[in-house]
Amino acid sequence: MATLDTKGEEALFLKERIRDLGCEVLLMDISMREGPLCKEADITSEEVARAGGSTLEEIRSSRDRAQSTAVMTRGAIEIAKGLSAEGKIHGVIGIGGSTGSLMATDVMRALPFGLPKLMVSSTAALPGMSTRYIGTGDICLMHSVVEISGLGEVLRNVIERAARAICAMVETPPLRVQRAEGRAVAMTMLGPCEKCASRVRRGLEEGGFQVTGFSAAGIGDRAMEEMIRQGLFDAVVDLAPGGVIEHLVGGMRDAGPTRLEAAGEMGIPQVVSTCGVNHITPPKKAWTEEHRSRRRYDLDRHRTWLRASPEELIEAARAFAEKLNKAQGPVVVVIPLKGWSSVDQPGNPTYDPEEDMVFVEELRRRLKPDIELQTVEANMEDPEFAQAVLEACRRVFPS
Amino acid sequence: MSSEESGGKSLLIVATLDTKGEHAAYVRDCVRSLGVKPVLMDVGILGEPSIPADIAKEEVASAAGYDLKGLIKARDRASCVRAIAEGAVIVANRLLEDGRIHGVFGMGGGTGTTVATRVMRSLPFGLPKVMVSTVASRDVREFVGTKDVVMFHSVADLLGMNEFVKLILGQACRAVCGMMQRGIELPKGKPMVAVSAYGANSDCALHAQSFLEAKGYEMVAFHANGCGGMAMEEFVEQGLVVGVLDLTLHEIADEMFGGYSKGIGPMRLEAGGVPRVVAPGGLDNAAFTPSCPMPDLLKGRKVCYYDVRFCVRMGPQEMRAFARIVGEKLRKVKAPTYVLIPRRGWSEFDREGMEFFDPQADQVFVDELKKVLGDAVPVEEMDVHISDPAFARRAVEVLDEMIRSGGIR
Repeated sequence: MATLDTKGEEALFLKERIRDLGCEVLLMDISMREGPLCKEADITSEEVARAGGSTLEEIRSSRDRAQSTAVMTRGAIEIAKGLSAEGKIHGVIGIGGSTGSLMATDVMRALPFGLPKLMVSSTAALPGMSTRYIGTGDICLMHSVVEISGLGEVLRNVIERAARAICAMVETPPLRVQRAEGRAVAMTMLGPCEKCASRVRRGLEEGGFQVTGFSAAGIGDRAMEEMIRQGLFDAVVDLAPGGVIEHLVGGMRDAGPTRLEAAGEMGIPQVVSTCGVNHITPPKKAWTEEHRSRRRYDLDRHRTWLRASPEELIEAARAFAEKLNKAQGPVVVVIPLKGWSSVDQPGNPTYDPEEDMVFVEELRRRLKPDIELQTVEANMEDPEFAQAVLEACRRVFPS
Repeated sequence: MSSEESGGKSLLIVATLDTKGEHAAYVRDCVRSLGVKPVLMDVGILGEPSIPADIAKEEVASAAGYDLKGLIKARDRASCVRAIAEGAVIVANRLLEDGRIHGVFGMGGGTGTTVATRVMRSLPFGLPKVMVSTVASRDVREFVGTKDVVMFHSVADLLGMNEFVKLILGQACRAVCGMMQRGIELPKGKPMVAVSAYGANSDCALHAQSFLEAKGYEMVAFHANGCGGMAMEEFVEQGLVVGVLDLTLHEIADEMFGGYSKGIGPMRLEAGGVPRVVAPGGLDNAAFTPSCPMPDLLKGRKVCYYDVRFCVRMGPQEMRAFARIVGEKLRKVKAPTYVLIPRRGWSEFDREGMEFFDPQADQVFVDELKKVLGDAVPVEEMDVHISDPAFARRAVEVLDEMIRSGGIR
């Protein structure tokens, strides 16, 4: 996929290189203007516009660029999904600047998980762009560093590498779904509860479950909720639902308004804990004076955790209760009393198990009586805690 | 057997072997089956590696002069990460110098991505770099920076082995091994000239391209968007270009006011070693978006709307400040430098007849710049707009002369 009006020469070079490597190529033109090389497309922008419910003439004469982009993207998605469903494509590669990358990655996210997707983008490293390009998709993003403008040796080298990468990627054996009925578990985690997650995973695997982990940093956990709704999982261990409090305060791990709800909607059992729920991560440029005065912990150069205030903890407990009370399936909440992650260690500035109780008590008050809330005299990373989580799983997961 | 003896290529695998040992083993076996020799570097801290490393974590930290065991005992996680990252950079660069690696592969979560991409950013453009990351979908600017790092989003966490994880790791292994195949090293063809460009000053770059090609050079363009300008400076440092046409200084304005193309580092305009012609393209305005909002102190200025971006005209006060910044930088550069000023406008927004047209404000920049530079750097003024082919022709002519003679001063 490329906009052949501005990137025609580069796209044709890419096509030629992929062909030399032994793959067939279908070149889709997603440009909204006519360029000298637009005729070289295998799927013309006219076809794309029509599949999007418009015509190229209409697109060209329109002054509403956002609307035109949406139409072209819709058309490209229609065509690509059709080709994929018919087994006519085995991978997809896009090359572009801002507009091309936005459109092509929208198409990629609409294609099935596992189909190789490579985006060569000159704007991969711009602030915030990668988040929009990748989202919850299994997209591979290659920074071209140089402008995709004029086929110099440097850009040729980048395109050559991209061609080799995508041709090699399509050789990957496809996803084999060999799912044991009733045994697929989704689990959220973060670095600061890694030990607990490993122990729980091992325990579940010994019990015949297959565990898929998701990073609870605001994207992986969102992807998990989507995959739960697609019916891919039979049970959930939600060790790190911090995305709920982050949604309330606008933190970087915000996992959207429906986090912690999919398992309940699907009626599958869930065991929930609290890693990271007592910390928030508003973007540094949005820090207020009050944020600056808070206790904090630097995870690394990029990540600083601020201690959540008691008010925020109460608000979070209410959100947890509201979400979990709606659940159609069994729920167990398991909370460690000596710190909710490896960050919560005696000596670390944000360690405050007493204040954590504000959340526990509010949650206990609000949860429906049939939802079990269990506390454990241990830290999240202690073996006893993982043991307690596993026991909870044994109680409510399919036997 | 070394990779030279085997005649094959070697891939450096950077991973925390205490937590991601299982995944590293999968990658190791996968690349081996693709005919590439794996070199496993352990950058784990917490625990013992679950599979043997070719380069142990203690060895990694000690390359940078740290005692990892002592740091672990002190429970100072941040220092441990720093030690392992600094050491990993040193070890990787040594391996590359010795010709013992031909690509880098990383996998990890937050910490693993931080360490492995720091290694990748320290290695030259062109060397294949693939990072499988659980946080690829976050803002990757700090991870990728100015380098050609390929980010694979793992979607599922790298925790335990399952079909999802195997698929992504398998694709990534094939991608990096594919990229490492023979014959795609950067060729040493025509001498290359780096050109800074951006949307509102792209005609100038296009003219420059044809003049450069006529003189036997090849142009490599960098988008002056906060990241591209810095990538250009790194190309200069890496010795990949013979000269620079720095025709777009728009980043300096955005940097000052937190605009859309902010984010340049101190190195901007300062990489030496090759001749450079500088022109103030796009310095007539700063650009803002909803997420990079205009500061209040610019309220009331002339504004020009683009798409989600809008540009604000810079006045005499800013021009004086820009001249001092640019002048101080150029005085420091250890290479022949030449400033070329178009008197009739510096971007598509300030052509004659347009609202931003304001040669008087521009002249403040020129006068102040001459004052700061003194005799150190020549400043030439031309009575044209920056998009006039005559301007690009003169810029190329001056650069070509400097490249041939090794200087004009």
